[in-house]
Amino acid sequence: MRKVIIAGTGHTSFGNLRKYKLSEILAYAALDAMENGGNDLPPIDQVIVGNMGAGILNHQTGVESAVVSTLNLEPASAEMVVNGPASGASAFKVGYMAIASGMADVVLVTAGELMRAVTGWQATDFVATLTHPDIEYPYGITLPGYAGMYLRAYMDKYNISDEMLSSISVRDHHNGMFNPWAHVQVEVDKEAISSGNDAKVINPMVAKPLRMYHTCPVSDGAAAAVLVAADLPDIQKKLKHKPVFVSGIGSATDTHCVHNRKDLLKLDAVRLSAEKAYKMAGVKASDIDLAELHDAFIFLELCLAEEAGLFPRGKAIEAVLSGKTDIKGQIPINPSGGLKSKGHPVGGTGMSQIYELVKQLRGDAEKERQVENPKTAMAINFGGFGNNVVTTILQNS
Amino acid sequence: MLNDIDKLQIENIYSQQTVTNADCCPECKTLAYPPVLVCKKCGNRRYPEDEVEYVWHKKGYKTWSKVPLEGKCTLVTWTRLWALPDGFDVRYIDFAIVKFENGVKALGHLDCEKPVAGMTLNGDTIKLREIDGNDFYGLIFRE
Repeated sequence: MRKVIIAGTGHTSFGNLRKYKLSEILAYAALDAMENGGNDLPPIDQVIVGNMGAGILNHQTGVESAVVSTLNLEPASAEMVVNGPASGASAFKVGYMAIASGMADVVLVTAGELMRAVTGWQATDFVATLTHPDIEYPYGITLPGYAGMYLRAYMDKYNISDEMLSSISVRDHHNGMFNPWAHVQVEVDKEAISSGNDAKVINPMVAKPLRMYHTCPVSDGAAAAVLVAADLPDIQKKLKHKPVFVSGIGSATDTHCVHNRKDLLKLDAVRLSAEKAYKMAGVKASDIDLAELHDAFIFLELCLAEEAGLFPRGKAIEAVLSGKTDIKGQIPINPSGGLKSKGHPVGGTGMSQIYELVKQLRGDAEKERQVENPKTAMAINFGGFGNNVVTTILQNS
Repeated sequence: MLNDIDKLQIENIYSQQTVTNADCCPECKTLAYPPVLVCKKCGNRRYPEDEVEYVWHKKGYKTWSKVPLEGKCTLVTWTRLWALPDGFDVRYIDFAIVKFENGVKALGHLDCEKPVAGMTLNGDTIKLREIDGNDFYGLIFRE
């Protein structure tokens, strides 16, 4: 397979972007990536768009063609990749495959979602359509519902308190304060959301024992990357930035219905996708210098870190409490602020995680949240409730 | 006035939305919920019954039987969900995942004052809501 370099990356702000069309925000992120990549790169011959709900949320189809025309990239090939909340990382994977296989030399990947075009209830309903159409969705179950049921079992097994969980929110929001793209740039006080007099009002239950500050906001936004083949003539001289290499990508699936898993607390697709990515990259969990983990519900950070082997089972919370996952810690997690603070435009999140890894590996992150001298970084993009997971590993050498 | 085709379509929607049975593989008797087309244990395949002979040309095909999910079950985990999807006019619903005595696990509504993981519940099928004017029957678990 050919080696693939990330030459440019782009991002829009995350938050309320209702004034734009979906194809526009995807194109803005793409334009940012093209500018970041510089003008010396060969022409883009393939465009991959990642998105989950254009047809339902925005009544728009054929978005990939609209993006190509908005950016005047005809006659580049263009396809859409739809894989639930893992659409972003899947789009990146397909872009990587196009170059690695020799079918393309320069690929633009852009992924995003415009969710605030509908009400909060409708957005929750839209995401719930991921569940089984006969034996889950009509009951009224939503993703926060599954998170609540999983969290109850996880807290019971590992003796984790509500206050301990709040430490993750505090860290994520602190990191997000320094991320200019983050949706919710607010410091969070642990006592106020967990044990203060007004905690039940400030931080109400969403799906018992899951509270509001345990969940991500509903966001609009997009992120993008320009990928190039490392074997193109003189390509290294044409790069504007230090090259970041795609070292490993792994993805795996688990049962569609959560109840069909042998052990409710095991997220096999996370473990398998991480193992595949480690094998492809030739690295171990202990080689990871920083990780962006899909914390749509903050406790998922713990479960994903444990499944990927960053910490033993049940021990990730200790790492959070002891500061090991802080920016200056042993293994910084979610220096971007994570989904909790940065936001979660579902189809765009995976690409946004990769954007953050590139920024960190180049040493270009804001000084308050730049991890010290990282070499190997990992992102886990979690689709459904662990139904479909993509792990990506990048390196700067 | 509904014609026969309209009635049939409504009947189909109704039947699609009411699945409270596990399917039993005729070869190895493994239960699947929801229905599957390939048995997880023995790999036996299930074909559309109306077409099995004339379209799929499978002679001697054994149909998969239905096993109702009801009776004693064990509570695995539960939640009280406020973040409901569009179309519900209640503030919250209690949900549970249970394991029936035959080993099948299922999601359903929970009607229990003090739920505790591991407790014994009783599973039943009742009308849970209306969807576009059609009754939706689903699983409920009670003490």
